[in-house]
Formats: sequence, C-alpha cells, structure tokens
Amino acid sequence: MSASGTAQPALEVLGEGCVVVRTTHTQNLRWANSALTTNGDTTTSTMTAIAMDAANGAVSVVSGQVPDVAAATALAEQAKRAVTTADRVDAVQLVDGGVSPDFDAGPEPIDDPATQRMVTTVDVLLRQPEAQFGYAELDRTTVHLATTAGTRYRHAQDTVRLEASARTDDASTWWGANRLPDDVQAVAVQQGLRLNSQSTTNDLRPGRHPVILTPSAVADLLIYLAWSANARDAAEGHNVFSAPGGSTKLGQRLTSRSIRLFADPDHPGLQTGHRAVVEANSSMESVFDNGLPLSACDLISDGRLTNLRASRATGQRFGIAPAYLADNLILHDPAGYGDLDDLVARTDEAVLVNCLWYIREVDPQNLLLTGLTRDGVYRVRDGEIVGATGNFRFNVSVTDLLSRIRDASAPTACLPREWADWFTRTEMPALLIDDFNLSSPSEAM
Amino acid sequence: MTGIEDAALSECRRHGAGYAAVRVHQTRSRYVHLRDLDLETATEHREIGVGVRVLVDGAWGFAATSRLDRAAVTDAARRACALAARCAHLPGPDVVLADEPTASGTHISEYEIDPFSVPMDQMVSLLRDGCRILAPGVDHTSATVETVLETTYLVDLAGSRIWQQRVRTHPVYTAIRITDGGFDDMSTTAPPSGRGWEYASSAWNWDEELAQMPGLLDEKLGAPSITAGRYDLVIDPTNLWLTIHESVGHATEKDRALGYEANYAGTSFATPDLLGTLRYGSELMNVRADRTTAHGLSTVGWDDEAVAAQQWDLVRDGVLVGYQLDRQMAGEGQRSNGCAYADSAEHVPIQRMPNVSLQPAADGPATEDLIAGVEDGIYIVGDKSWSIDMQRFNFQFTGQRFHRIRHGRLTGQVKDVAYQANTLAFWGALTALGGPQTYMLGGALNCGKGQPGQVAAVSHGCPSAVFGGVNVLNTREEARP
Repeated sequence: MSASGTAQPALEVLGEGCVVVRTTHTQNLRWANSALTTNGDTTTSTMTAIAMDAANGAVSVVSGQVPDVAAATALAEQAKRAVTTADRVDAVQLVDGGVSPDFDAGPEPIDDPATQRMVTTVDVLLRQPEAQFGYAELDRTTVHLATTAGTRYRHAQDTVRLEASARTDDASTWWGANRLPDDVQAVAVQQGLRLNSQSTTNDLRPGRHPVILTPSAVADLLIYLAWSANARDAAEGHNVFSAPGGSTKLGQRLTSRSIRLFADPDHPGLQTGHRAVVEANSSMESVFDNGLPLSACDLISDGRLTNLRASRATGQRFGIAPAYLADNLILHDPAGYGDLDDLVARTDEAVLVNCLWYIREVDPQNLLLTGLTRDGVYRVRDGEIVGATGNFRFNVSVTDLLSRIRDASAPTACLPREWADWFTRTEMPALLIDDFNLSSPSEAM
Repeated sequence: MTGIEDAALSECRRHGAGYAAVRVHQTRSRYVHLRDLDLETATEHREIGVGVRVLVDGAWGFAATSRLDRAAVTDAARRACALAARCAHLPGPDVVLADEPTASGTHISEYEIDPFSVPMDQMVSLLRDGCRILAPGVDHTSATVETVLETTYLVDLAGSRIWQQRVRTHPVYTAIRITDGGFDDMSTTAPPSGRGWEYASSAWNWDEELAQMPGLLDEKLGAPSITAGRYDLVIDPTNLWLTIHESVGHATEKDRALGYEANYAGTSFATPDLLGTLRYGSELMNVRADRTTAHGLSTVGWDDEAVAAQQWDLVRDGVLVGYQLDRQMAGEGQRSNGCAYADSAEHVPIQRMPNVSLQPAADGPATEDLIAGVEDGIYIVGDKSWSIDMQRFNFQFTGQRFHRIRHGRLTGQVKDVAYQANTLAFWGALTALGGPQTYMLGGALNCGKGQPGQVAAVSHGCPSAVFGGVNVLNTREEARP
C-alpha cells in the first residue's frame, strides 16, 4: 500500500488535521580494532495522524505502523477520538502548502551500487596499517505530508554519514564527512600523517588560549546555538537571547565580524525539504505549521541576531516573526579565506582542536557549554603544527566566543562529531578564537 | 505472533546461520508537556517491528522491518544473512559467542496502573495540578511526563522463547524565576522509575517537593556565588546517581574497555589487564550490578540474548572486580552476565548497562549526620548538567541546589557551582557513606550508546556520601574570557 494511498483515507477520518508518513531505509556498518563489529539493513514506515480543532485550539497526535488502509484509518480514528478531550494549545489555521508532482510516488530504497560503494569504502579503511574504528551509514527517508488544507508534499532525503578514527597506543585521530569521499585512501593517508604528528608532544597548561576549531568542531557549537535560539524563551526572559525589560536581543550585534549563520533548503550540496513537517509540538515548532514553505532563514546576519525560532502562533503571541530552519546549518564569514591548513599557516600561536565531545549546557543565562577536546589537539607556532598536547575540558559561552573570532577559513561541508546522530548537513569555516577556556586537563585519549 | 518468527528462523537456517535470533519489539510511549499551565505537547506513539540477527561464516548480519507479515519478516531474515555473508569477506576475526543454556519464560515488571489505560486528559490534569502548586511563587512553570510500555518476544535457533513486558514513568516539574540580576530554574528531584502511572500520582511525595520549590528557588537566586576552590562534598543520592552512572557504570562496560565504542561513546581507563588490581576508590566503595532490582529501569527476566538476569560485583572494597558483558564480550569458554539490549526492533542488541549501584554502609549514618561531620563543605542535591571525557577520567557535574556547610551545619545556599574531578581521585576521596536509610534508586531514561544511536533506561541506587577536597568551579568565572 502506498504512503499516499494510506494518507488520504486517514485524512478523511480526521476531518481537520495532517498525516505524515515517514518511510526509511537505512544501511550501516560499524567497525573497531580494524574489524567489523555490527551492521544493519532496516526498513521502517511510521504514520503520524494529527487530529486538529483549530477553532478550539485542540490537537491530538498519535503515531504508529500502518501496513494497510484499515490500520491507517484506525490510527486516525484514535487521534480523532482523543482530540475531543484534548487540552488547549496555541493554534492557527493550516496553510495550503501545494501539491508535489510526485506525491503518489512510493518511498525510495537505497540502491545496490550505493551499498557496494559504502562497503568498498569501509574495506579500504579496514586495510590501513593503523587500528581503525568507525561508522558508515546510508539513510534514505521519504516523507509524505498530507493536510486537510490541501498540502500534498513528498520529499526523499538521502543522508550519508562516514566517521573514521585511527588510533595507536598514544595517539588518535577522527575524520568525518556527510558524503562518501571519492578517494578514501587519500583521506586515510592524511589521517596517518596526523597520527604521526602526535609523536611529538608539547605540554600546555590549562587556561585561556587562542584556539583553532576545525569546521566540525565549529558545527558542534553552533548547532547548539541554533537549538537554543528559542524565541518564546527569549521573550519570556529566560535564555541567552533575552534582553532586560522583557524584550529580546533581536537586532543586537553579537560580533564585530560580518558573519552569517543560516539554514537554506537550496544550499548547494546540502539541499533539504522545502516544507515544514512537524510531528509534535515544541516550544519552537507547531503541528499547525505543517506545509509551511521553507526558504533561507538567517539566525545571524552581518554579525547581528536576526531571527529567533518561533512557530506562527508563538510569533503572534509575542510579536516576533515566525522562523523555521531547514534541515541544515551554514556559517559564512566574508572575511574568511583559504582552508584549515591555510588558517594554521597564518597563525603565530594557537591550539588546534580537531573535535569536541560530550557537550552539555552548564548555564543557559550565558549559554555556557562544557565538553572535551578529542582525537587530536595540536600546538601551532609560526604557522606550523609543532606537536600534540593532551586533551582538555573546556567551558565556553557560545555567544561570547562569536565576539572573539580573530580569523576564519572559507566554509566547507563538514560532519559534526557530537551531534551527528541528529544533524549531519553543516557547512562551516575553521575559526581562530581568542581566550578559549581550556579549563582542566583530561588524561583521556 | 502467528509463526512468522519460526518462518524467519527457518529462513536463517536455510541461509547458513549458525546463530539466529528473531526479536519482535513493541514500544508504546506517551509524552505530555505543559508550559505555564497550557498544554504544549501530547503525543502517543506505538512502534513495532521485527529484528533478525544472525551469525554467518563468523560475521554478524542484522536486518529489520516494521511490517509483521510473513513475507516481510522472512525477507528481513534473508537480508540479515546476505549482509553477514557480504561482511564475512571484510578483514577481522570471526565472532565467537559465550555458550549459554536455552531459556523460556515470561517476565512482567512490577507496576500497578498501566499508563496507557489512563486517558490523556487525566495525565494533563495531574500535571496541571502540580504546576498550580508551583505557579504562585514563580514566574514560569513547566511539567513533563514520559511513560513507556516495552514488550519483546525473543526466539532463537537454539530454542529459547522469551516474552517480556516492562514499564517506566518519569514526571518532571520545573519552576523558573526571573529577577533583575538574571534567571534560574529548579526541577523536581524525583527520578524515573520502573513503575506505572501510580508513580506520577502517589508513589512520590510530589506535593511536598513542589510546595518547597518556590522558596528554595528564591533562596538560590539570592544566594552568594561560590568561591572556587576545594571543598568537602556531601552528595545526595539525587545527584550522586548520575556521577555513578558516568564514572562507574560506563567505565565498567567491557565493550568500551575493548575499544568497541572508541569512535563514538569512548573507551575506558578500566582495561581488562587491570581487573582485580585497579584501585578504583577508597575501601568504602562497593558497587554492584544487577538486573533484578524491583522497579529498576534495567531490570529484566532475561537479556536480549536470552541470558537470565543476575547480580554481580563491579567494585569490591574499592578494587575493580567485574565487567558488564554480553555473549560476545564474554567470549568463548566464559559466561555472559546478561547485558545485551536493543532499544527497538530496528537496532541490534549491544552491551548495555544493568542497574549499577553504590552500596550503603550497613549501619551507616543519616544524611544529617554526614553533614554534621563536615567542617567546610557543600551539600549537593539534584542533578543537572553533566559531562565526562571519552575515557571516563575527567568529569564535571552541576546540581539543582548547593547548600553551604560550615562547622557541621547548613548555612544557606550558594550558586554557580560545578564540581570537576578525575574519576579515580574522586572515588579515592570517598570518606563516608550514609546508611540504608539514605539509599535511593535514581536513574535515567536516556542513556545513549552505539552507532546507530540507541537509548536505554537504567537505575542507580546509592546512599548519601562524603568526598573530601573536591575541586569546585565557579561557573560564572568559567564563562569569562
């Protein structure tokens, strides 16, 4: 039974509401100590039935597997029954998000050549001389959204994740990508060189240091900033974007550099869906916004806070423009140029951090985050990597560090390390940041 | 089920599987969230599927489907075997499993009220009533309840057949106060529990805790900022459970110690060559693993490899003496202690944490008596921020409340506190344990591990405990450039 075929009868039962059918085919390989450890080939399909009564601000969300029309209508009936006793939520009328010409097409499985390419890539990594650890995943998710306002939207999204760690007894590296590389052997050789460069150690005391973050490390910090850009929290006075007197910091300058932090469904190489697909309300998104068109949306432009994330209902309530982010995140610094190696080459003195890990919020008032450096921390002197140092726990305010960017590379597609389970499509520059608090040493490697 | 699991096993046998397990896994979950008394989210989700795991030519293969018809499930069995055969050609040694006897039976966790028998609007009403207790004394409130009913049916080629059902529930209430000097929040300290809806309604003294929170939050906002330095800490079980989870629970996972998580969750300093000799903490430290504790979040009858639930020591008299094992980590000629778990049909079982608990002193003192023995310290209550490095050495935790101790007495709250330590130094600084009357079962619903990522629920019991001379940071100062 096709997704579009189950959605229509479910919608008829709902009367008012939405149906989301999410069908996913995932394949993965995982390895450690240069041997495969686990793998998987998984197909799942889930329908979410969202019954609405916008006039009374009522909504009910029920989801589950629906192998046939009878199951789909039963799920919709369950949602419909629940909406009669549902509590009040902020509600607005659904929009008509238009009709995708391929709406009636089914889900798309991963094709065998893609699988073989992943296996071949992993095979190359497993044959490297250093101990290899890592994970590769192909995911193809097809989403069908149908609403009683007329939206019939279909979007198929490929997501690729490749992570490779190489380790010796006293050194480790990590490399990640959101696409399979054309020449994985070249990547592996580069990782081997990074391992070798750790044979020279160079002690560093904890404290505030100039730090070069790789694009992946920058992505991990700025994803958290994007997740924290909550308009309602800011308007109510309890997040880092709140201003005294019950207003927000919208329009305020966060950094003297003309950076732009944004999401864009049409960004080359990171294309994503063009409609909001919301399966549960949160403080930043509403099921009543299902089908809303997505386009480029800036959180920061020209160094100023431009948007905070809000549904239409939240926006109306607090007098803030609604803002939805597409499923990617990009940072551009117009003053940045060259790649990571170029940035290192023009830096007199800094600590180069390959990855960040176990990032957690310590204080929402200043968006103070803690975490660890991981899999490669290097001393940079006079434009060269002169040796490795141990890992550190850091404590930094993400919003404050934007004001301490001293230099940047050009942006490049990258895979975040910490948040790749949830977010893979990022494009970031490497950044040189002054006074980065490396709070205490970590013995870990 | 109507025999599809046997059809899948037959398909596995036909494709040369030496080991095959078919697991039907259903998770029903509800999530309700209120904000300032208004409903923000109320969702109900039912996820069901079949996962097939095989060993062919010494290599694992795993496939899953969310369709429950015979054709889909036998196709999953075929895909699992094909994937294993494909991967058998990749470099690496053959997988070897510890032998275990076959098992059959049923396990149902202890609970009184099935959360899914409770109408959603009743759940909303109960949360709203709790928020109404908070609301008059604070600027904003929120309340969340997450409840899960997890059912599995496991069969394998060796003949095991196991049906299990577990339930878990976690309500959380949060209050926010905003002043000219900033804002802060405070959440209830009730942990998640392997109980039904009775936990949200009556198995915790919600009204008393909620009634105290506005005053405690006001006091915290007006409290002095801590002076960074070394302090003796009296850590309440509502905070210490998380430190145990991160610094002992994860550190004693054998798969981590062998490098299986090196690319993701990390490794462990507690490597197998140190088993039986590593001085983990002071002689007061005894940590026990178990999968049998009543209302424990990791309590089962059998694990996802049909190994019976059991109890064993991880740390005895301060020395590392045990690991958490599944059949692969135990290896040939050894026995598993039953720690295999997958969080859904679409994920492969991996070694996951049992309930890991610090034992109280048999005739130990009350928390007040522990505080009375501290000259200059801090009493820490409730968990909040947490982070630990990838080898489980360096950690940093905050909490809900920090009460200053001077000359054996609580003298008011302080704020901006985080404690930061090395695991071995911290447990080596354990100087006193509370008695059984201070013991409490904490825990989490959201422990993450593995790629693709999996979550597991796990409990950690512990008494109040005293740690001498721990490094305390001032988080405001940490944020300054």
